[in-house]
Amino acid sequence: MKKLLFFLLALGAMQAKAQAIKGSITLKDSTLSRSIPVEVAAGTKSIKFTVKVYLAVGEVAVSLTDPNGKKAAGGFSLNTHTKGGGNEPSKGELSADETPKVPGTWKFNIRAKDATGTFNYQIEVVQP
Amino acid sequence: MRRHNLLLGLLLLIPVYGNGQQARLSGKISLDTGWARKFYVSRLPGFDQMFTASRALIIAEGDLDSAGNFSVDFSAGKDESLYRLHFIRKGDPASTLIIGSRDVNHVFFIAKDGDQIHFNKKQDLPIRQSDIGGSRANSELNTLLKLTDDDTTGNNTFISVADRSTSQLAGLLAISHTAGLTDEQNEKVRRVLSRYDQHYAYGANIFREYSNSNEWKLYLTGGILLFFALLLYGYRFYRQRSILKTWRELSQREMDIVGLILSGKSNKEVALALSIELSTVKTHVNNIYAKLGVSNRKDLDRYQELIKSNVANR
Repeated sequence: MKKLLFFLLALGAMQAKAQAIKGSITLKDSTLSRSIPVEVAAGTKSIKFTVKVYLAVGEVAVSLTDPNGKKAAGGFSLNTHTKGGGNEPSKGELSADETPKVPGTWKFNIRAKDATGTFNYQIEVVQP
Repeated sequence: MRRHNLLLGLLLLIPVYGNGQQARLSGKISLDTGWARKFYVSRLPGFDQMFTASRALIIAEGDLDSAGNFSVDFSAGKDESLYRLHFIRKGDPASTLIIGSRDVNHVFFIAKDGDQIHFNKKQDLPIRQSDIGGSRANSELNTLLKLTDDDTTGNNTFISVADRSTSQLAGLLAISHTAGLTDEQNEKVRRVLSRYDQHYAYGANIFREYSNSNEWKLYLTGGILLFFALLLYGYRFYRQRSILKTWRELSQREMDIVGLILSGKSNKEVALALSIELSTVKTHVNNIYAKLGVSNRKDLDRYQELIKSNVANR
């Protein structure tokens, strides 16, 4: 039984090797533009990215672009504007699984303007 | 009596205009205890705001009843607009967007004045785009959004959806998903767009893009034509200068002989006209041919216009 379990674990590890990039940003009236490079080899199974943003004030936009600069599906943006000109918190959560058609350096882009809040992300490149 | 009827008619009209242009959204949802019993409707002014969470976009909100039923009237124009219905978990801000997980919290829909939109989420399943309906535009939107989730959907499929869509908004959204079109695909999109209302706000960027690509082609064609016109003018100018330079190398006697040849005289007639020997005319003619770089009278004809005008100028 132990042998079978070991075999299954070893098989699982061989089948899906994931390279993970994790990060957390605390925004305090921050204005920033950051691109996190994600190296994608030919034959990569998928890029999984999970993003959680809580925004008390300001604007945040998240996007994923392929090596040609084309936006992949799954980006989002948040702002705290109200119709009356005030601010109300916003929240965004994203769990996306992109099958990369183009190998090369993909970019996970984060833009913030006068933003206060928290930003957590995790990107996994899953090899076959 | 007539005045009373008029007053009554006006009074009957008040509720119609008083309500303005509205649509109605109603539905039912079963949510577990982790979710707030609230719903929100956002109006999305452009396709690039489909995944924007902002309090400023929310135009209507309400409470779910104990059975999960809800209903709201919201302002809707005579043209179709894009909306988003969303729910939130307890403790989350009103403008919360959850994308891509089992907790996905929203669906998109199209509505215009007088539409009745229906939402019905199946129990124990996540919220799905197909949960919303109530008009042909929304069926088209649901089909399109399913295609956009599929990485293998290509330009031709999006163009075909745009071509078949009765909803201009769904058609424009389909076109907005195309990229790197071939000339043939561009032409198809242009044909589809020619049927659309060019003042429709959702298509502003698309109409501008395709009108720019037309202008770009027009400028390119104009530029190429201008280039060739200048090239032709330059060539003719160079040729004329070169011929005139050669012409000036001829002696007065040779110029006279060319003039007579161009007037149609034979060598013998030229000899008679100038009272010189035929052999002398032949020698002059050979020299003229050599200087002008021609080999017979027919070639000389090619320069007739230029030489004639030059003879006149002299």
